[in-house]
Amino acid sequence: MSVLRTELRRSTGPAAGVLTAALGLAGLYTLVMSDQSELWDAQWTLLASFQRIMLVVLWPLALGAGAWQARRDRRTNMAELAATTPRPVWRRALPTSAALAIWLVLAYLVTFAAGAVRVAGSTDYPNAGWVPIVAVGALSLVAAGWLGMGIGRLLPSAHTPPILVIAGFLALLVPVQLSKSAEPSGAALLPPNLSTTLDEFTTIASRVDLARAVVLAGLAVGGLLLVMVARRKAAVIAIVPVVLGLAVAVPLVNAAPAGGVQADPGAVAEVCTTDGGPEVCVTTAHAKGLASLTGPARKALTLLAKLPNAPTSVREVTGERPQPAGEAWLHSDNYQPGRGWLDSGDALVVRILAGAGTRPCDPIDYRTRALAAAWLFGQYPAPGQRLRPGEEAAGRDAAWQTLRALPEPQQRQRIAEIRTAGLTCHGDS
Amino acid sequence: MMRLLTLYLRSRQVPRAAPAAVVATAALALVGNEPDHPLQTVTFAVLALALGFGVLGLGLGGADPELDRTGALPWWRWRTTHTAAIAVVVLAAGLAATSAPTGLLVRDAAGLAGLTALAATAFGNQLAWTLPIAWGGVAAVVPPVADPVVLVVLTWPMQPPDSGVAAVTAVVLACAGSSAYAVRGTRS
Repeated sequence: MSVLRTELRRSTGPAAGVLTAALGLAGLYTLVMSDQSELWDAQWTLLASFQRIMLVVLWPLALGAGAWQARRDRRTNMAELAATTPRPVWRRALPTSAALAIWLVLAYLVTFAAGAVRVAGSTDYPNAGWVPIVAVGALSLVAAGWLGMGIGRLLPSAHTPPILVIAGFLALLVPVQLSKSAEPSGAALLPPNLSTTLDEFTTIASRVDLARAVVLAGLAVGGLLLVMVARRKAAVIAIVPVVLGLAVAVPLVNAAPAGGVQADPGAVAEVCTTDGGPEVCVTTAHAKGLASLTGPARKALTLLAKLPNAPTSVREVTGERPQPAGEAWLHSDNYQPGRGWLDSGDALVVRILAGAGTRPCDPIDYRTRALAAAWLFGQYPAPGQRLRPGEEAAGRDAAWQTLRALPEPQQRQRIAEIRTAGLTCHGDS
Repeated sequence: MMRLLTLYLRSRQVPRAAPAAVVATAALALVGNEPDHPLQTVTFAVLALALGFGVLGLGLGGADPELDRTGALPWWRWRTTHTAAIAVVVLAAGLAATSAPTGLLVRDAAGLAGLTALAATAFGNQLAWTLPIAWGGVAAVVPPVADPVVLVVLTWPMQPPDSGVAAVTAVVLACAGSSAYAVRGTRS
């Protein structure tokens, strides 16, 4: 134990840990500086997966730190002296490896904690889905550190660490480059880093992260074996856990969804009003928006009642499924966690009324959606709808005049048709 | 003079490291060189330059810096020439192997050479690879955005060749690194 305590203070571990944490914090907070913090501070799973994106930087550097650590005996001309002691190699190697792993895991967790401060203030959806994502990320750093130590011991040249770092960058970069055209699938999903940001309704497919964990565990054990074997000839054994890990993981990722992500059922689950009035529902990921939506939503429902095919409830939706005739839908893009609905009051009512309470459908016809909202609201332009003067504004004005020139029943008929057309939309936008 | 030069080069492991660095730089730049994908070409070019400096950085110091200092030589000239020489060698290898813009390669070679010299001065020649590889590698995998200025400075190796901020960053790093190394030499 006292050896471990010494290694925790005196090995490459502290430097590697501090560097990892510093880079992680810099990555998180440069996004805050450039006003893109919603990429990670909206939800726990977003923070955890953003940290996984940053592994593209941290993983190769951890590899290099391990390789540098492995050269210590040789650098200080201690290798021969250590070889003469009756202590087995693994007894000397274990505390050093443990110290590096502890520092790297600590740095990863510190980065998460620093991001958690912001997430806790803005998320609507406390959940534990981030735990496996963070665990796999931390495991990946341990694997990188130990693999670096193992290769560094096998090839104890001063040039090993820099070459290994570049090799690490390439190993993580090449699958991303190859998948630029399509979503990564199969073995391209195996690197621990993610290449795209998620949204608050999506999470990493558990099967894919399990496969990554198996591969990383194989790499970690293989690296540790390289560090601990007594003779260089015995180093071949390190291939066994690596190959085993790959053999288990490849079938797992081959059966995984493309992109390696899946919908988070807990995040899209509905939270509804229970006060007996017309039903208003939001997704769990946006649960804090329910209170401020209820009033405008019910006002929108009374306005929609003018239609023959009027809906009776308002729901915030995401993803793809057919819209029932009895529901008015508001797309989840209208809400930002921690900031709330993009509009409030009458402008929010108008957002619900857009397309007569249907979701935007590709190709999105903004003019028709806006006209339906304005007609239902009884004011043109409706609150929040003002356009800058230009071709689109002139076209919309003309369309509005044409609509108002019709007799009242035909106007109503026209808006009801817009709603019916919106209901048949099957694509998400 | 000739004998002194030979001994110097041998003490810096140049006869083995220089060919290795040239081959490694050219090979890596060539692998990623696809004129249809400019971003990929530049990414690999930056990684290749960083690798070249990572390999040659070790030669910025000898086996015994203390012993070196006792030599009655104008060390600052040797050190400045050495820094410039590794910049030229790595740049030449990069220019020969990739279709990335020449201005970008020149700027990156100058800046990364400065970082190598800076790391050698601050951490010793065995760790001279750290700054060029870490900064070059991080910049290569992070999207090169055009603002704010802080991020342009952080991703300077990947900025387009006409970026003023990136050019200034590279010049500052080149001057700071080479002058610090010229004055102090590697950390002993």
